[in-house]
Amino acid sequence: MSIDTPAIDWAGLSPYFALLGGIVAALLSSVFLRGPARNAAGFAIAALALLGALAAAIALAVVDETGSGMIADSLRRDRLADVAQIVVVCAGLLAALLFVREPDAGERRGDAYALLLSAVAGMALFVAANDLIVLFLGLEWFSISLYILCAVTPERTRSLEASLKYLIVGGFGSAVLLFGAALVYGASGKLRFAEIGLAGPGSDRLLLVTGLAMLLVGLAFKVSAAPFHMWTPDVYQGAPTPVTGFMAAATKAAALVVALRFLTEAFPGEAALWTITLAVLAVASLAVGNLGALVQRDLKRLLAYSSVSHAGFLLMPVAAGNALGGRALLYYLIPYAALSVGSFAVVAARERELGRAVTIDGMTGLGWERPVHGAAMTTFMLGFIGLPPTGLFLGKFYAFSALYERGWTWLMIIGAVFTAVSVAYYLGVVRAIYARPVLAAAPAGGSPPRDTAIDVAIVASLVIAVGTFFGVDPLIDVVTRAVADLTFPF
Amino acid sequence: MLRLLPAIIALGAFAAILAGWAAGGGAVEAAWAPSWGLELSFELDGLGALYGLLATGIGFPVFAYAARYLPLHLDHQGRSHREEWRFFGLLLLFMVSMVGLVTARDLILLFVFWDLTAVSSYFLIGYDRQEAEARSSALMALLVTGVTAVLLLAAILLLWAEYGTFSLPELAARARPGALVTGAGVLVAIAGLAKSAQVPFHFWLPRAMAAPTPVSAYLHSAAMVAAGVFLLARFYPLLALSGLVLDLLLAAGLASIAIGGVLALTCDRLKQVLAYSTISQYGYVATMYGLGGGKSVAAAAFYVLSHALAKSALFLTAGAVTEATGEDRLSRLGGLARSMPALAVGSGLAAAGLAALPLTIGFFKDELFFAASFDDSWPAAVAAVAAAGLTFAYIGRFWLRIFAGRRRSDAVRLPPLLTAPVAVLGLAVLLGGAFAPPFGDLAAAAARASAGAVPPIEPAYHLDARAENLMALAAYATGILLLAAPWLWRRPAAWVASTGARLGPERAYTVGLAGLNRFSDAIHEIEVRDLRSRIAAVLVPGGALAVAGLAATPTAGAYRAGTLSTDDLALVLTLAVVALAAIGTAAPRHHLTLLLSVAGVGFGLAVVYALLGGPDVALVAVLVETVAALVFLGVFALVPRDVLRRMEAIPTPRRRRWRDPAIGIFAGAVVFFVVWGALSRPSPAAAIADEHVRLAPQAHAKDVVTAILADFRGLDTLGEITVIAVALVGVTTLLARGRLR
Amino acid sequence: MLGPTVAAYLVLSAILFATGAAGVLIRRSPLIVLLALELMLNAGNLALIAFARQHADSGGQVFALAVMVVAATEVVVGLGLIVAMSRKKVELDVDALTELEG
Repeated sequence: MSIDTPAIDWAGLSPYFALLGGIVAALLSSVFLRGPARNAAGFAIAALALLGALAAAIALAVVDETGSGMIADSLRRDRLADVAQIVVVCAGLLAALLFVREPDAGERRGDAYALLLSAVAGMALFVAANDLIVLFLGLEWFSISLYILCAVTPERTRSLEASLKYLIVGGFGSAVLLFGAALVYGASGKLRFAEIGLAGPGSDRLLLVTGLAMLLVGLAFKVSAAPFHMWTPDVYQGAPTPVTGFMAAATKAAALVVALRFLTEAFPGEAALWTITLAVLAVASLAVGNLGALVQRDLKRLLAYSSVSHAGFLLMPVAAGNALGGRALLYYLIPYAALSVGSFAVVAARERELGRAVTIDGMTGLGWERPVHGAAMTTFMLGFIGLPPTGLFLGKFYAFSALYERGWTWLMIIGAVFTAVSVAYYLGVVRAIYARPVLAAAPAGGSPPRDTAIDVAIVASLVIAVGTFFGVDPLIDVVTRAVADLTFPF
Repeated sequence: MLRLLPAIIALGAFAAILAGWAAGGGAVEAAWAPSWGLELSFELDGLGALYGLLATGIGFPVFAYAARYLPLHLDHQGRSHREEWRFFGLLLLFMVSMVGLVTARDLILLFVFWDLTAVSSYFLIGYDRQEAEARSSALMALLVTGVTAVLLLAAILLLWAEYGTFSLPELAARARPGALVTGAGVLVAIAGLAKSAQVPFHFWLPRAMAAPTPVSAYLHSAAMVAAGVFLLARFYPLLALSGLVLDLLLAAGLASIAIGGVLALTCDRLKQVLAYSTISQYGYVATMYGLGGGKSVAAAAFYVLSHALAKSALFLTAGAVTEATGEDRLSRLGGLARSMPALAVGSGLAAAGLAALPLTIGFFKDELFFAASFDDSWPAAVAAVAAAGLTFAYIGRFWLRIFAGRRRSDAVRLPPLLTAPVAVLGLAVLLGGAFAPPFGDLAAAAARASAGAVPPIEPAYHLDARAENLMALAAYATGILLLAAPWLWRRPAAWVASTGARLGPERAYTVGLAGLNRFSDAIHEIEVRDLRSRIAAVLVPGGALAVAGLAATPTAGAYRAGTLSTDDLALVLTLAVVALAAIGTAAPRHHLTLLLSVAGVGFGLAVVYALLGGPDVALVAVLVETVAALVFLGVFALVPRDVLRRMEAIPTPRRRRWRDPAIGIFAGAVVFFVVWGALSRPSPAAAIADEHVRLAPQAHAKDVVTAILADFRGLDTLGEITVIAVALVGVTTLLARGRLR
Repeated sequence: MLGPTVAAYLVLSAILFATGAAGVLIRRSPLIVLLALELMLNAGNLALIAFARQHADSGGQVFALAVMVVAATEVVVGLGLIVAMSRKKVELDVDALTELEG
């Protein structure tokens, strides 16, 4: 006797299968293997799984003409999810490269790869979420993986401290998000985004708006938008550098894509409210991030504040609430992710060379000792400012034009002013890179062995960052198709 | 010699541009981003040809000079000769970006090259990287030009948003006078003035003298600083639409002439004199654009050309003199004409050109300038004469102090490659004086690119009493007077210099930077207070916002307590117990008591779930709660007893004992009122829900857990299992090494 | 059945949430902070269940089940961290965790 089996969209689920398979394989290898074989196997499995997921996501992005729901419509299979997954998986690949010689991880590198894969899988699920349950589950999935990843080098007290702080603040954010989700559910009686949107007019506005506000707060914690950024500097500084690089690029990308989908689909009726709220968050992030970065000496902390300020820039196109803004967000995210991972890769390389945390002074002379790293870091810093030749220049430009279309010139002006402020601290780094090396700053533990993996990661980030400057048209095509399914309120 | 390769490349590029220009110009286009209308589009028009020829033509002697100068420079500093390639690479990059800038027709492309000149100049100015001064000067140059570059970008975006094109010719055709064009024009003008080191952005230029001499020579004549006025020329069709922008240019130009000229007269260091002279000279150019009209624009173009020839020669002279004598101050030099005659003649010609003596190309630059100002108004004419007199005086002082008078220092023989370029440039100045028409044609063609129809420039000598000639004579007389009677100006000039240092924009820059740092420090202070103060800091404004929202919502029918039926009594009692337990959790200090009370809350909630019709959920809740409580107990056992005791003994800080509970209660009260207000209000949703509840037995699944396992919720279950697995791995990883001590 | 009773659940849920939030804010022992986090998540659960009842929709119950498991996991990870820290002899006081304030 045969029973009714549901139709399963094997193709649409392929990225998840690749990642889940990778997690299982990595876990098994870390149970059964010991010594160097464990690390090698971990890396090989992670790379294979990520490449598989990347290939699957790219294939889906090519095939998916129109979006469709999967697994009883709780997951979306559309180009937006595909593109976001490509970004997240690429960030994961680069981070995996950075882990190859992470000295503090030691034996635990095998576990680190499993955790990294799990974080990527959680984000892949998160960006495809189509209802509140998957949204919360995906968020917690990747957050818990990241909490542990932060502490994957437990020999460093700092990592433990960062991890606990991240867990407490992140848990607080999740609880707020959960309560918000409960209120939204209470107001509309629905969990699926589109149905919440449809139920909008009939639901209790007070509950709905309070819930929306709490959900926004929860997402803002993940985006590290001010004033919900307080964990960012501590965690970025304390976490192992490869993890920091991954978090800076992927968490932000995932949370913003989800925010875009969630807000446009579930709250079209409250658009005036959430766009202005996001605009306020953007201004706060720009102010806090840029001004806070000015005095930082520790490079990872500086980059943390820089990431807060870029949260502001990334929120601007979402706040614009128009189709142009949606495209601008995706366009901005791609070079931004590359710049983030790339700059943390350079920091990681320098950290291993010096054998201690990298301050701005610690970068002194990098441009002369390691010309490729120096040139790459210079490009990354100029890119963060929004100067050519990286794609962020055009991304910023795209974001500004979205604001202009919305008629929010004031926000453009604020953005431009803080861009000008940001010139000061990014150039401070460049200045250190090309200053003459002071003898005291010479490598403490001698030159570490040549690390090809990290060089590959740096060059790859550089190629993506610069490539998005020249390959404008194909990229515009991709992002335009990615947001074509969304209906924008403005 | 490999070192001469850059010079040869520059010469080749010069020849190529000249040939291209002779062949009637031309355009190159390639698609870049068609969907945004971005194109890689270059055109060699008159303006591009003028500045392109300057960048390459002056590049040739400067690069040749550098081929000899740089090895000596590196030897002086004890640096390896391997660093040469960086220098020449950057110089070539600088030249290429300059040529790209002047030929770009697409605004985004123009901005890209604009930035590239800023970045390459940063590395060139800071080339002597072991010197902190060189590095901070480079940073200052980059900050001033970089921040203003953002303004240029803003202007480009404004224009694009309004007129929908990045193409300059199309923009010029579509633009109409109005607030937007004025705003964009002001931004462009600021960017151009900052790059050309005009008052009040001039302070970076004298500091940038920290660069090796060839860099200064190139920066100040044909690249970087010239790029600023080039931008004004390129955007002239738009700038001219607004009287305000032209007035701004005029004011900045006149101020630069005066301040630059006076300071050039007082400075002692060779390169400082020349730097202030550059500020003053580009002030002329800005002034002429500010005057407006075809004649002025043509004069401006010609001025840039003749100034670049003369100024580059003078910078190279300064470098050569310092190289030969080891001195870089006017007060320690003198009488060098005999020991280095070629240099004296070459630089003498260049100085004569700058002072606008007849038979040099400089004579015509001033003639055109006089004519333009005379046409404008008599105050402009008087100012022009005064300015020219000032120029005559400071450049005369510069040359005479070095080459005439008593010898004050020894000089070694200079290699020919350090003298020849000066002589070549000096000859070019003389050649321009003798055969001016081709230069005039070039400048006129450049002016046509900015201002459309322009009267042809016909430089020629007229031996009559026309206004220009009289003004020139007056200027010479003023200059000679200033030279002969330094006591006339010494005091006021010193006053200008000291006031400028005390109140000038450079001080504003330093104070501003320091203020920004202090502000940022203050933010940092707030930021690094403990984590929870920051969460609290978020909650209070959030709560206040919610209260405001509540106050704004209609309250009719809300906040009614309703009635209780006896059926609900059990539920209400349980709720009350849970509430009490929840409140109780805030108090205890002992870990175990606390754990038990939290677990009590959990079990109470499970009862509530059961009464609410979710017995399956309740069972899971009991299970999870029990497991969690056991895990906590396990941890209590794992963590050493004394650690636990110490944690229990941690006192709550005094300031927090009242503040934080107050914040928590406030937040809770806000949520309470939101919920009460929302739920007690009669709403259509409630009516629908009533209906749902009535129909529940039919619609509602009997057993949610079964539904989950059998239903589509398999995905969530999978997710949960993975999360648990990951957590297990994580915890084992964390605890893998070492035993408890 | 509706009116006051649903509101009552939500009031309780708000109390739980506020108590939990206050606990996170006030208490300095990381163990207690974790317990307080658990309270906050429980508050969300109660609200979900109450609303599920109000709307006669099973979605909320499913959500609550997922949350329970995830919350427990989060707490377990936190506990693991605390044990690891106590092994490293790090002061277990949230306010004393200031090594990172560069």
